[in-house]
Amino acid sequence: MRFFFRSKQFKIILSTVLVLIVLSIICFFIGGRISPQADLLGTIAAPFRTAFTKISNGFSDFVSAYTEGNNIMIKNAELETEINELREKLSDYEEVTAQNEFYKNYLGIKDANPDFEFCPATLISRDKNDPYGSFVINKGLLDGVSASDPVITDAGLVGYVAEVGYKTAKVATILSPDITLGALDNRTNDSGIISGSLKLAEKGQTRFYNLARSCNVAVGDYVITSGEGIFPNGILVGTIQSIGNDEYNNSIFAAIKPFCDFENLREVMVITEFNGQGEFISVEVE
Amino acid sequence: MLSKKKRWIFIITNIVLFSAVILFETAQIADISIKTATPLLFLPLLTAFAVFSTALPAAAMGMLCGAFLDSVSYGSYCFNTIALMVLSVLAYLIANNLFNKNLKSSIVLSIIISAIYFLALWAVFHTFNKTFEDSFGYLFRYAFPSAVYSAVFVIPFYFIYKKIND
Repeated sequence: MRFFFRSKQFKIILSTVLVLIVLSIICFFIGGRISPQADLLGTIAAPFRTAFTKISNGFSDFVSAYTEGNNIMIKNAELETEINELREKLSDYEEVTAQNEFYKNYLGIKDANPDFEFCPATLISRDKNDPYGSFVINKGLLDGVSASDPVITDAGLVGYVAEVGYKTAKVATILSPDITLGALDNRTNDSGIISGSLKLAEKGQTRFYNLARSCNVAVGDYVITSGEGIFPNGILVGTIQSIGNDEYNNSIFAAIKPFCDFENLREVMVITEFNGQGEFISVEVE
Repeated sequence: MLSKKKRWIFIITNIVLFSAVILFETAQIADISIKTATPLLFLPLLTAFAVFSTALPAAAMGMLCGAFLDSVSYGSYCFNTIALMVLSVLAYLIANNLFNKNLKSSIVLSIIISAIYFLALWAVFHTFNKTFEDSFGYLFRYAFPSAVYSAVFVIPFYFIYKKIND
């Protein structure tokens, strides 16, 4: 074995590893960018991944239609639409401003928020080793997507663009503990912070914490973004599933079930521009 | 030394195997997870490849697979490129200096390589999680089951490479 460590092969491998370590450190300090070698291969592989993902989705649809019965699927889709409509109506009733008209569909979102600029994207890959469900979309810098852009579906908030490459971007979901966003209870206006935890992520839920003990949040309330941080205000996040005492301080926390179905996510919208975007970041820098 | 025909079979088999595994790991093709155990097929494939290969090709394939994995892994920067490259070379060194090139040794080697990878993944990205429960929860509920599950896949890859080399 000692001959190997004196060989030219070992020197080549060692120098490559050192170059990669330096590259990692540079990427870490720059932040928000996919590393060059991964970006290059990701860009080359993106069309193939898109194609195979579409084939796989088609096959999966075919299998589920065959096994579960096409009629059940149609009925289920109708019921889901009905539930979404009812949810929107309830939310409209509770929200003083008319901003929840916004959630009807993307066109509605655009009508209600003329300042929003969208970039539709397709999910082409998932990070299988990430228990928080991060994924890759087929849009990147060349499509106007940049790091920290919010990502939504017509159901609600998904997450944000964590790293961006030329033709792909990695999205971190609201199930992740790396994400921290200000949020409000839609009914009571009680404010708190949303950030994920491993235990809740396993159930497809996230954590709404730092709520004052005197707050009036209740199970079933809708939670929306407050506009602090990198997200615009008024985006639906999810519904409160349970409420408990925080182990670390005397505040309370709630477990939230996001409206977005992360398991079956295929298409998303990246909000590339909105009023107030970057304000929080520039204030932090100042 | 491989004959010319076998050399071509070896190259074509590698192209097919690596392309299939790269697509499987980086596109949304199928989910073969069992509860929280998610196999990383690159690890057994690189182990089997390293057993029947030399250091430089093993390092090159490790680097290529790692770069593809980095293109879909959130917050990894060059971690997978470095880790898979180093682990491939390590697998080559162990297989050629310490172990025999039989199935049992390959399975043990695959378990070692998978365990090192998932331990490193945990050490780099999850040790400083917000809570103790999240940190060790990842190690025991995700990393170790995934390492064991990944290692199992060395069996088919071992037989494919063995067949080519016989």
